[in-house]
Amino acid sequence: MQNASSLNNIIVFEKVGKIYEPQGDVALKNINFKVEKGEFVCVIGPSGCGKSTILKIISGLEKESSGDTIIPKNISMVFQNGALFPWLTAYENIALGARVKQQDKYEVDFICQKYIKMMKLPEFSDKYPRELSGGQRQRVGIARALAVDPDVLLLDEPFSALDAKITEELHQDVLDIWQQTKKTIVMVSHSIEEAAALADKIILMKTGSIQKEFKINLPRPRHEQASGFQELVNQIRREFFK
Amino acid sequence: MPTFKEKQPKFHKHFSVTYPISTGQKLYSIFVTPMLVVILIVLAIKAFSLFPGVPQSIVYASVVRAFFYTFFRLLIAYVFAVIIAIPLALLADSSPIAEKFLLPAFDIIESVPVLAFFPLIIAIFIKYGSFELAAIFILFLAMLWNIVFSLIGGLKVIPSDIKAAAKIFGLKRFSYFWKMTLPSSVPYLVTGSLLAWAQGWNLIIVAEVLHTYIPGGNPSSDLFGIGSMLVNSAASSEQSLFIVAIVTMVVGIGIFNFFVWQKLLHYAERFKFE
Repeated sequence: MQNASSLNNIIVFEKVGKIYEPQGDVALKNINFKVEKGEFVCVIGPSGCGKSTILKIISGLEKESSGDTIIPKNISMVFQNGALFPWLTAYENIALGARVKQQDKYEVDFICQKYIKMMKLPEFSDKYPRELSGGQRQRVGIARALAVDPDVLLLDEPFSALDAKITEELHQDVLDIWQQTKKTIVMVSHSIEEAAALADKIILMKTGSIQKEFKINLPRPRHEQASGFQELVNQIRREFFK
Repeated sequence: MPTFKEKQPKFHKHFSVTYPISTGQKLYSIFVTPMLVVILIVLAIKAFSLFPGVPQSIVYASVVRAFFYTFFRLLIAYVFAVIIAIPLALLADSSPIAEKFLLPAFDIIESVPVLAFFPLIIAIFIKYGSFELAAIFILFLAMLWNIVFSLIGGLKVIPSDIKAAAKIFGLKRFSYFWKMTLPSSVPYLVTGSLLAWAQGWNLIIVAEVLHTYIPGGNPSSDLFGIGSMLVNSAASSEQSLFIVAIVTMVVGIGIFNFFVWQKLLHYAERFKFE
């Protein structure tokens, strides 16, 4: 693929289209964007606009129908409802991918304990998903994703089912992880405020194509009262409802 | 040595948590099932004592032995049914095209009464000299489809994000099946198995009484088991043996239900998606 790759770009989409066969539903058309190494990118848009399809293509779960992509091999994902295996404990869920990558069980244990600590889960590691709250489950999901040491961490509306207080806490945790690990993060969300609070770049989508990209230079942590935050949110909202 | 190596990782941990079950279920497992088992045992003892003329120890031993013969016949058929049902269900779920062709085929095969095949099956197995295999084969056929359809139903309801997670975290082929598909199917495998065993118990009466299918056959060509014991005792008016046999069978099935199926149904709860 020419022109598209600069050394710093870890994900590149060029004229990407996606049609779901056999119904022929067009999910994406002419999608162009780049994600730099270490960048925090948020894809927002209304339901059915194709934002989850972008994550599926980056994760390799779906293949684009047309266009070119550069996607990293080493990715992992945090799902909307956790997608934890109900028959495994929190610890075993976290170890799931790590065990595939790493044969040495002591090494796996070392990695799991590290992320259990990072996600504040030590007293929950022996619990089963149904014994955990929504927020704790999502922490396990994040720890599981980090335990495979991915180049890109994909987040698929991970906080949409949680209450405001837990969401706030998890936002801070994700930012801490991002700053500590310098991982590239691509997050799908339907919340403008969430995207504005977290991302370096927001990609706003509408019916299968990108409507606008916003570069955000506000310092973190970004609170609703911080100067410029509300203006940014309003600006995105105007585009969102255009 | 680094400190983390001294720690024993928590592998192969056994399930230790209890799962929320309704009060009704609790009452059922605590009171009703044991009560049923006790009632059945009392009935069995009563049945034995009703017939003082029968040498009880001999009758008891041979009836129980017949029960276990039948039980192991069913067990062998069940093991084969599970071994065959799993790949059949996986195949039917493997692609929309496979489903389109296999599901109607399974439906047709399943709806043809197993017993219609019995004379044919017996003729084939007699050629190879084994009545035992004929009975096991017929029980296998009767059990198979309950498990296949139950499993296909189970495979269909595995949430798509669970499948996606398994793929993203590197589970492939055998590990995908062993660590994701199979555990996800446990609740359906258990309910399918329950139905399969019920079907199997229904059929033993026919499967063990082979002489009715052989031209000029007599009871000596029957298989030894609780099913043939029931039919032949009824036919020769040995009422005491008939009652002892039927009570033994009911008690045996009751105990099996309490110690195996109730436990398995409870165990399967932890494999269910919310």
